[in-house]
Amino acid sequence: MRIVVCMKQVYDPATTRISRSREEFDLRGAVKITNTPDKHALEAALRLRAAVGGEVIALSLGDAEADDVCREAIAMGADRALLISGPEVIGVTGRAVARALTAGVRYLDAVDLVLTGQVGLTDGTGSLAPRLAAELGWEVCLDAVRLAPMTDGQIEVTVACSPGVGEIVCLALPAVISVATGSERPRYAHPARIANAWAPGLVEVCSCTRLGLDAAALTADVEVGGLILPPERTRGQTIVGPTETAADELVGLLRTKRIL
Amino acid sequence: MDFTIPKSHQLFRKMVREFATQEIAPRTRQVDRQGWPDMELVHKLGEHGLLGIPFPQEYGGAGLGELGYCILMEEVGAVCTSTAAIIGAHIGIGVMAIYLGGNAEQKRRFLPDLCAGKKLAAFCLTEPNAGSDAAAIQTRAVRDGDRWILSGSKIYITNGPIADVLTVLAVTDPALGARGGVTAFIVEKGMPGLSVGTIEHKLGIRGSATSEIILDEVAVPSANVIGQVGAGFITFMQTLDTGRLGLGAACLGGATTALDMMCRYAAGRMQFGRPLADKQAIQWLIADTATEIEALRALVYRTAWMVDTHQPFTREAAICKLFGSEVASRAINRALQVHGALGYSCAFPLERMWRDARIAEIFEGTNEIQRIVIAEQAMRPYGVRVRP
Amino acid sequence: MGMDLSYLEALMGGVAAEPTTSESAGGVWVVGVEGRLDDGLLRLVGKARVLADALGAYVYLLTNGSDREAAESTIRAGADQVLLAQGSPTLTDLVSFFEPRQPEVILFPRTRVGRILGAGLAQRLDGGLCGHAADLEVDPIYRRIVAHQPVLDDAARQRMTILAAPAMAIVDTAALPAAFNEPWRSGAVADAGADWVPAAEPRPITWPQPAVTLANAAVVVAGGRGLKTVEGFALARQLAQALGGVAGGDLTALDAGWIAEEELIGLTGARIAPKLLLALGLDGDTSLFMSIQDAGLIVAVQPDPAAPIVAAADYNIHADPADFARALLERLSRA
Repeated sequence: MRIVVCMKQVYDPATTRISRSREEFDLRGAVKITNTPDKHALEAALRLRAAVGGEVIALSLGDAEADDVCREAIAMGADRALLISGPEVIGVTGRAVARALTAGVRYLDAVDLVLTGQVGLTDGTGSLAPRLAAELGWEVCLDAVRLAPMTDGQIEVTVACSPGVGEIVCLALPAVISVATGSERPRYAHPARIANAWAPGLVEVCSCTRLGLDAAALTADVEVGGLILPPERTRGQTIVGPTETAADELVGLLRTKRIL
Repeated sequence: MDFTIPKSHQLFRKMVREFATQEIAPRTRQVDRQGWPDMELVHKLGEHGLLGIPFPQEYGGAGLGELGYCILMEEVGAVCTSTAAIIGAHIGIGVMAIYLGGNAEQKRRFLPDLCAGKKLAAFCLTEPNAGSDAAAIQTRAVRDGDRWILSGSKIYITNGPIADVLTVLAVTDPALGARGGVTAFIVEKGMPGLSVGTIEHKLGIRGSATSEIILDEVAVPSANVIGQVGAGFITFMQTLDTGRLGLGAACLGGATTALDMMCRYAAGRMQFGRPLADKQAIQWLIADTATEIEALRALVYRTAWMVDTHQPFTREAAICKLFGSEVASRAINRALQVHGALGYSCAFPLERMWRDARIAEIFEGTNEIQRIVIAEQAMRPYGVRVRP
Repeated sequence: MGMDLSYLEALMGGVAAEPTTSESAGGVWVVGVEGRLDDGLLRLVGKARVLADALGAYVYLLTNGSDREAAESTIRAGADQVLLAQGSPTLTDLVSFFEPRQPEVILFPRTRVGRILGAGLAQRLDGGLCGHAADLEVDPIYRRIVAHQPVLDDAARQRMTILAAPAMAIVDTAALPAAFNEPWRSGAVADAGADWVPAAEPRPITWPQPAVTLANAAVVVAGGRGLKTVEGFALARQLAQALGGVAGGDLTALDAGWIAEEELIGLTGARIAPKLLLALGLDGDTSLFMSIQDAGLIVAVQPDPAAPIVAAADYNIHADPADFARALLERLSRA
């Protein structure tokens, strides 16, 4: 089975701040990491490979730094990686990302399964898997927590609807599946694999032109603007009134804050 | 000048940090309380390839060199000194003696299992009457055909009760003394006559196991002699050099954690209507600690680079151990002071860190011995031979 | 349909004549094809109404979850035309449905089906998509849809101008304001002319979940001295259960023997980051404050207005914690 795992580099949310005065992300001190949900997808792929054999290929798109993502995937157990890079892919939006990655999947040839993470950290929406499936014309399934291959070219997917509750669906291969973060925890990269991950020949870097994509295919479908910030936190407010009315008011407050 | 840490080692640091946070840190308190290592954790370290970091891949190691080993020790030292001590005794000195002094056949025989954590190593030098004065050891090895009969006792052996492979220094020719009369042996668990003696109850690193090792006419095949007969003292001294560097790296981790705790608390604790961090008395503690940590970091990683580029590093390793242990003790002591009574409470990790830090000034050569090593190297160009 | 109040639409700038299917190019479409008509979908229709009013367009609802009668509620919520379909559409079905109609805006609810079909349709129609919108507005100058996309776990929202046509968004309907229910609205209910194949019934499954801990709980009810007795502290546990969260306590609760060591919140215990921290009878000290820094909403029930927690909490209720806990429990059990 040839499994492609889409992996991207994101700003670590723990190090990403918001500038209230400029109403934009403050990326000073922000660290780029491999999108953790994508590591869950890689873990699912590695387990599938252990069960049925085959090859796991990490597929990434980004600037030269995205090479780190490919290396980390290889250190975790991927066989090799394809990085779609070049000036034309910097800042591309969802529609173009899906087209470029689709071209990558076609280039890799004879792919049975494409896995993606559930969502991109920081500012992701989780639309990559259905977009890819639409481009490729394949079946799609979201939020998988378990994948079990079946003999007749199908894959049985356990989908999480809420924690601990889900349903089982069967997809015909080839298919695109997004893997939920509630699935098996990604393994640690192995130190010896880490030492070898920078060996030559493991990461193939490919431009969009080589994949047959022209500039028109990569035009933006959306334009990112400024941030809208919630009002600043005001502490020390008092809910006045007797116990009974205060309880009513708190229930109302929790409803508006969507905690209830 | 290029201080860039290679990408592979940066990724390795991320991996170890993740492992240390998720697997080691949750057990730190427990192992200290129970006064014994968590063997499940030790096996996990091996399973994830962390017990063979500096050794070449042909022997089952990770091939990440001394730089990788220092990163490992720093990150583990940041969350659990006991676990760092177990790793240090295993990789830093136990296995290292075989790697540095052993022949290819011995490395092939022992290293793969040791790197995979299927077996654990210990380094047996100290004796009731020989510690800093290593040449004064009394454990005897007498040749008997193609084997050696070892008799004596070793004390304060880290990993002693849990080790499967012990590197033991013994006198083979009392007439020759340290130069030519002392040999290193690989003693394996299960050899008749080898036993674990008194188990130590310690002030700190209580999550590591330390004991006496008794050798009662243990027959060791000649194939287990590390390197040449008579070369044991040199092998052990070389081994201690790399061990000291790793210890300095573990101290760097502990000091960094102390600084982090100090800053966090100084930012959150309000006194006289302002955070502690506003007080200059506290700022100086923080500034001094940060300065010392930065110096230690530069020292540790430069020395690691010297090891990996095959330069002499005896002096630098001694400085790493001396300075590192003192920086860690000072940093943790200051952090405890900043936390006040909370720092003194057994419910808070600082008291454990404070107890743990003390050992680094003692083991793998007391700080007094490090000063002798450093002075010896400093005085050599002036024609003075420093003697202990 | 009730009385004809279409003149109101004329007053609002719309076109008075009711649209018919054949001439329905453009428009703001809502697609709810999960076989049900829920409140989320009605809210989404309301949002579509607001956008359509700004654009001077009609609101169309394509749904398989309604009969003619139920469709009235969607008209009261703002739909001009409700198109009823049978079965569940595949992506190809939706593509062939929308290609001739050339919609201006298409909105999907952020359900699993909505995410799959919405993102897939955007890709196939060459449209622009915001894959996760918490709100939408119209940029009147360029006549573009601007989506507000949550970022950093909804710490802020990013403006996302949709450039390509059709403008599409997958909308988190829970974030939208309540649905309109305006009886004076008029609209048409028609057959979508689409007979889709019913979807296969999925096999349900459950699996054990790891227990929620203080460190990862979304709701923490923390009790302290002010609960007075172990019975008082039991109310904190009951509340935690009612709110789907975990109970914890401060050092005073630990010293009183009300909680186990694992339930201690503080520098010597757990650091917590819940969305809601309900603090019952906690005074608050450095150790506690440093451990609750990442908590979202903090509500403190504390009779003493001078207690340190009062300044740290977002909302304070000056009442007896046990009495308040009982009152809140009673309301939660009623709801």
